[in-house]
Amino acid sequence: MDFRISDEQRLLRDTARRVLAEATGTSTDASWVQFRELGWTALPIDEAHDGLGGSLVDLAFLLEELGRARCQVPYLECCVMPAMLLKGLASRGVAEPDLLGVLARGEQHLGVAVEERSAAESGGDFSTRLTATPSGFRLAGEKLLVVGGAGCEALLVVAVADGETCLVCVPLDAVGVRIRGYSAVDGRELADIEFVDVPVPEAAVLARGAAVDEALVEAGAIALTLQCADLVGAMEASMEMTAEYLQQRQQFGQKLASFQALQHGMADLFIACNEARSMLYRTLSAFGQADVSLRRRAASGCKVKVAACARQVTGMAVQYHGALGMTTEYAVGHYLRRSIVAEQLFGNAHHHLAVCLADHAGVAK
Amino acid sequence: MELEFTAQEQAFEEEVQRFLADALPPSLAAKEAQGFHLHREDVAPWHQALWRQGWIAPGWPQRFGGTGWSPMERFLFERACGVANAPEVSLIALSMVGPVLCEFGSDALRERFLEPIRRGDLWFCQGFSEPEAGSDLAAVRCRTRFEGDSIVLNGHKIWTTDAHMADYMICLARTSDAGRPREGLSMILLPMDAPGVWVRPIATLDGDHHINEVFLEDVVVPRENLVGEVNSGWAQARYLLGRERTHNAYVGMLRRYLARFPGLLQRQLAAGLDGRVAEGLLRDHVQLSLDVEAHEWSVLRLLADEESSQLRAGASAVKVRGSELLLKASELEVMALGSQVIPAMTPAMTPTTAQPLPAGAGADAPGRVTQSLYWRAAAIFGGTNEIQRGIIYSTLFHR
Ligand SMILES: Cc1cc2nc3c(=O)[nH]c(=O)nc-3n(C[C@H](O)[C@H](O)[C@H](O)COP(=O)(O)OP(=O)(O)OC[C@H]3O[C@@H](n4cnc5c(N)ncnc54)[C@H](O)[C@@H]3O)c2cc1C
Repeated sequence: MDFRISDEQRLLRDTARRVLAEATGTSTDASWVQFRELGWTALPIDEAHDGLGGSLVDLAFLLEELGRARCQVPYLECCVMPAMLLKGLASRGVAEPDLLGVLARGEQHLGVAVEERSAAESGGDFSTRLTATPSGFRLAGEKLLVVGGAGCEALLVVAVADGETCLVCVPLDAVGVRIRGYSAVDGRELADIEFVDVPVPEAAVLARGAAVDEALVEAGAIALTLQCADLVGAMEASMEMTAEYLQQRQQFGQKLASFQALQHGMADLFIACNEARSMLYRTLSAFGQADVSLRRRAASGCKVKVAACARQVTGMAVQYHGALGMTTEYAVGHYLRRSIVAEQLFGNAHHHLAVCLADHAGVAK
Repeated sequence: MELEFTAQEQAFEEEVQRFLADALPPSLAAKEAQGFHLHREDVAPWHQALWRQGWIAPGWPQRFGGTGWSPMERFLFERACGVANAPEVSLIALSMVGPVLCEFGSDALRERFLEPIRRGDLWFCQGFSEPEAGSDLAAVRCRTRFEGDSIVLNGHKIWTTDAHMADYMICLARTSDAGRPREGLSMILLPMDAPGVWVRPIATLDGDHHINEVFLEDVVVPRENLVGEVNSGWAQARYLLGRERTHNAYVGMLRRYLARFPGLLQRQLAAGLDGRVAEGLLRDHVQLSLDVEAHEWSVLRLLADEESSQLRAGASAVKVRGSELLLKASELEVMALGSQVIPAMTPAMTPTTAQPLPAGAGADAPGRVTQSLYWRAAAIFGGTNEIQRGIIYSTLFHR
């Protein structure tokens, strides 16, 4: 067990912190360029596909910085997640048309379209259908909450064909793709996407069956863990900001920081941040296990714990800023918004607690 | 970063578990699990077993009989002991007096005390707190007078755990009124059978007897019983705190609670507990397990980290959380047992002894409330949680 970070990780973290602090508030496109130039689009992908072969720990460090900077670039959703899905397929012997290379080189970003109106679990019954017709495949259905969906060149769509889950790559400009873009509470861009009998060439059906189900679970666990890394960065930043504010703000003729109630409150925020980080490391460690279901459960547990800590810290950060904390002009409240979105995206604590509970199904019957 | 235990550490843990399976008397483990305060004679066989194995004083330097384990190995040892229901052995003597003597004691004191402590022949109590010196330990008043080769002590110690079983007290006493209050304190080894030592028990909420008041009236001890330099008691206490960063995190104890809860719940279900109630309890249990996992990794981070400026804050954080989680874990058991815990119970009440359990109480009930009430003390001793939060703030944020 060794928690010291390597020189490369330190460099990654420091660079990210510096660059992202400068870029905060700039437009999405400019930042994707930076992501490519800094090698971040290549980080989640193996060398064989022009990637840098970064580890999950490396990615966690980067995600922490994105959270800290309240970065709006959908890096996790449109680069890391599709990369993990494709890697999962590749490791199950499914060949793909070098989309990994495309992602690594930053040529395109791929949205991942999973969620539907009636919440379907991975491996469950999605209502988006891929059907074979005499003139080729057709895709029909609706996907919700595709983060960064409107800004991508193509989507990886999870659908059902003949009772099997399949993964289809659909360009955003294909005939019959209808996009409704909107903003999330924290300002990130989302889209609902309807597929009205979209013609799909055979080569665009990337994989079918168990390989897709398994790759979805695997990529889902990774996304959940990295989402938690983002939250760890966000909550630490909001804690530091709050400590700073208490030093500056004067009331009753003294610094707010001189009041013990606030000092002890800050100690509690540290305890929560510290535990969230510990939980993140515990979960990253669990990815050493071969069994996918163990990794999935570990990631679910991570979400339960980290989301609760994030809500506590980012919420109290607003409280300790008084009315200033309630304003959109001031940054601290944006961390609360980010946590609220993250809390519900990819399943909330209740959902993931249920995953953990399934483990004990034998006890309470 | 290396986020896994090494093969060597895993092998070590298995070795400890094998030893526990062989050497820990099952009747003692059962008694410890129940949670009433154990007596010196209860723990003695386990102390002997650890001593024979050479594992009685892991934290001491090797030349004084320590094991030479890494901090991680010590953690694995303590965790395995906790899970296996091994009781703590003479904590004050082994974790406090021993290390202080190794670091600061004269050769003569080491000669007199270290081996008997290791063998389990000498038990110590810790006489720090006084009626007017609790969180503010520097306010200790206990007076000393140097007369020839002797020191004469007068004072009033309170909350002294196991004073009624101890052979010696490590007493924090005032040896100077000059300078800042903390600069005039010394640690003195005081035989409990010396004339002028009076011990009065204090009953605690949990219904057990752990703590006492100790009155010192003209107690004469040899000058050489003062540890190290005169007036260096504060520095010695700080040294100890720095070493025992994670003991108060109670990871082993928490793991013990988690491990036994599903079984306890199953027995309650078999005895008629409503399934919907059990589901809610199970949910709390899973939530608690996640909290404990995060807590445990906070401890691992502290152990592996030798350079971080957050060390002191991290140690206080795990102290606070350890006590909070213990209370939660023990209260969850109480909840699961429901009205079975209402009757006051004593260790003497078992299904097989003359003093029977009240009719409604199953075999799981005795000790549950006692233990749960006792864990409130974990938020008070060793620096209260409020004091710990103050430390966290001042190390991280104060300017
Ligand atoms: C079961 C048990 C066993 C013990 N065993 C021993 C033992 O063996 N030897 C020994 O020497 N002592 C022992 N103690 C005593 C223990 O160390 C003290 O109780 C502890 O240091 C707190 O002191 P106090 O009880 O005087 O509380 P006080 O210091 O009077 O505190 C009362 C309350 O005020 C809060 N408080 C105090 N100062 C501040 C502050 N500056 N800011 C905010 N809040 C504050 C505290 O957190 C607490 O909530 C034991 C205590 C218990 C409960």
